[in-house]
Amino acid sequence: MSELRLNAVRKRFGNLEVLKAIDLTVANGEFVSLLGPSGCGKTTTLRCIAGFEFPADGQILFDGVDLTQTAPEKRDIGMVFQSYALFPHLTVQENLSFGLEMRNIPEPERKRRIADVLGMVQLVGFEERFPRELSGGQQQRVALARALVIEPSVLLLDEPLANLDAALRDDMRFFIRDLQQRVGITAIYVTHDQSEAIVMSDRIVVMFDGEIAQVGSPKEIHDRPISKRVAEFVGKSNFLKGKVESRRTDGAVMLAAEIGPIHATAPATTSAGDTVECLLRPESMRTGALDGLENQFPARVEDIIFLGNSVSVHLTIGGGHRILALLPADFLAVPGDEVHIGFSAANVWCLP
Amino acid sequence: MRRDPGKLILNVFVIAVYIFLMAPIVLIVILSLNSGEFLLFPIEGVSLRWFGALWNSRQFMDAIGTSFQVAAISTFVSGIFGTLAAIYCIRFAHRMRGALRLFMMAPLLIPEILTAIALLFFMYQIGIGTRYSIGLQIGHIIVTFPYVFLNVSSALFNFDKSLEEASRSLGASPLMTFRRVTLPLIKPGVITGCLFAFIISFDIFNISLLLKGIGTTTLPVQLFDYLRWDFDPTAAAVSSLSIIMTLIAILIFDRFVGLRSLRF
Repeated sequence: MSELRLNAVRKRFGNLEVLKAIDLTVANGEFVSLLGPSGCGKTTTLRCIAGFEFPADGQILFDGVDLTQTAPEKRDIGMVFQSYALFPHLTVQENLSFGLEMRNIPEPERKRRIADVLGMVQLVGFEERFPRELSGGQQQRVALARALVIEPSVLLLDEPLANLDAALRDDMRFFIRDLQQRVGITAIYVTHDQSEAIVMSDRIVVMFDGEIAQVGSPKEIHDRPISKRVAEFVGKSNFLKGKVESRRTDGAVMLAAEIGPIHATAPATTSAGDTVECLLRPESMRTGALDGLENQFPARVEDIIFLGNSVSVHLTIGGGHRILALLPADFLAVPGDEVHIGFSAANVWCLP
Repeated sequence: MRRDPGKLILNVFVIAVYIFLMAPIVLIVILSLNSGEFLLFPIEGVSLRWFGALWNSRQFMDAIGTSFQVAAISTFVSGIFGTLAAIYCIRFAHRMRGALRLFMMAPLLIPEILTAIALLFFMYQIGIGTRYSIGLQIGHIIVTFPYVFLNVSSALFNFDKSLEEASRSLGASPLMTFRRVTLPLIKPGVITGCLFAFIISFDIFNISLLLKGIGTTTLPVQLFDYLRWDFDPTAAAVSSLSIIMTLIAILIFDRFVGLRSLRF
């Protein structure tokens, strides 16, 4: 268990600068996700932490100890790979034993620890199986167990759920999160799937083009993104343009927006007179009982897509502006219907 | 039950191919059991007399010993260097990979007789000539090397590098990773390569003919010499023995390293 710190870590491949001075601190026991599109540098960052790549510049500190140029086998990490990377010529037992043997742990303790960790990942009885005899989800759990059985100070996960089917992926999110919490290990998780990052993480690091765009809790990243790009990457978005009419000290602002006057929330940098773009998440819109919602508009239903547990509705409001709303599945309307929608000021976020 | 005509044709075809491949081998074994004086079919009777003749022939027994020794050394040397060369070529050569690969395979592309003549000239130029069997041994290594190189290369080509990274992340040094992860996983390629190397070395003629040391000869060359003057079933007995030796080589490999591990 330890704290991890990256100080101005830079990395280039040829002429391409893949990491541009990454600064990041991960607290002891924290679950941090590196989220971004492919090629943003998230995997390279993880590989620098693991020791498979060495930064051109900057430091990587484990509990204050500089391990920037240290070989991976001397870093005390556990890593889960996208391909699982289970040794195909070894049984589950031997796969788990590998790291313990490298640490010269005597046989009885090896056995005890393997049994413990197999219990944790619910694979007791699979000791003698070969990886090819296991399902994808089971292989995934063996990979997790193999990384955890050595009791590393940091657990690194490189898109571990990318190769699983959708239903299993959902289960495994909670499984991994739960396991990480029980063990209390510092974890760094690389993913391009925003919903994965939101469900699992204590904090999310959004990366674009080799730079950190924003660091924050899942709720901050989702509700208070720092830029349009982050907003779009993290979820479905409506953007409303407008001019700030007035501003209160608590950040509440009055906006003259294209769709009409709306109440919104703005960061400290926004002041009256600014032209801003606001984020309105489709899922923060309501119909029916609108009591207490600062913003209410008549709208016309354009089309409805049934998603199972909800409906995705295209609406026109305020004289021809199309916006997307995610509403409960019991929303009963047909295209052409006039409805009333509302959303609170807290859910309209002026992008800085 | 209705029979599928396509399946029937396939079966007939497969049987035909097997007969085509196996008939000469079976015929040779039958001929070697001939009790008559000549290498003719049908055989006159069944006996082991020509195997007895072979056993009592010093030339043949020496040739078998030489062939075995040369093949064993060639397999060993090609096995080690072919494997190392393949690892370097696939893993570390980067931009030079294509050129290096072609270079390593050159002995397969150049006619064997040219390799033999060139090596013969070379051996005389450095003053060793064919006084010893060293030229013969070098020639065999040159020819068998590409087989190991190719087989190990293809095993490495399909190798998931994250397995090695996983090993490192679990605390294994690069050397330990090679020993515990890489080598066991490319083992099928190494075994197949060595098997090829052994069989090819046991079988090649041109290089052996030109480079054999004075007073030594390999089995194929001895057979050729023999058949020029004598046409009795000793030749068939030798061939049978050669087939059996190859089978034994495969069985030994199977016993110690397991052809079963070729199945993944």
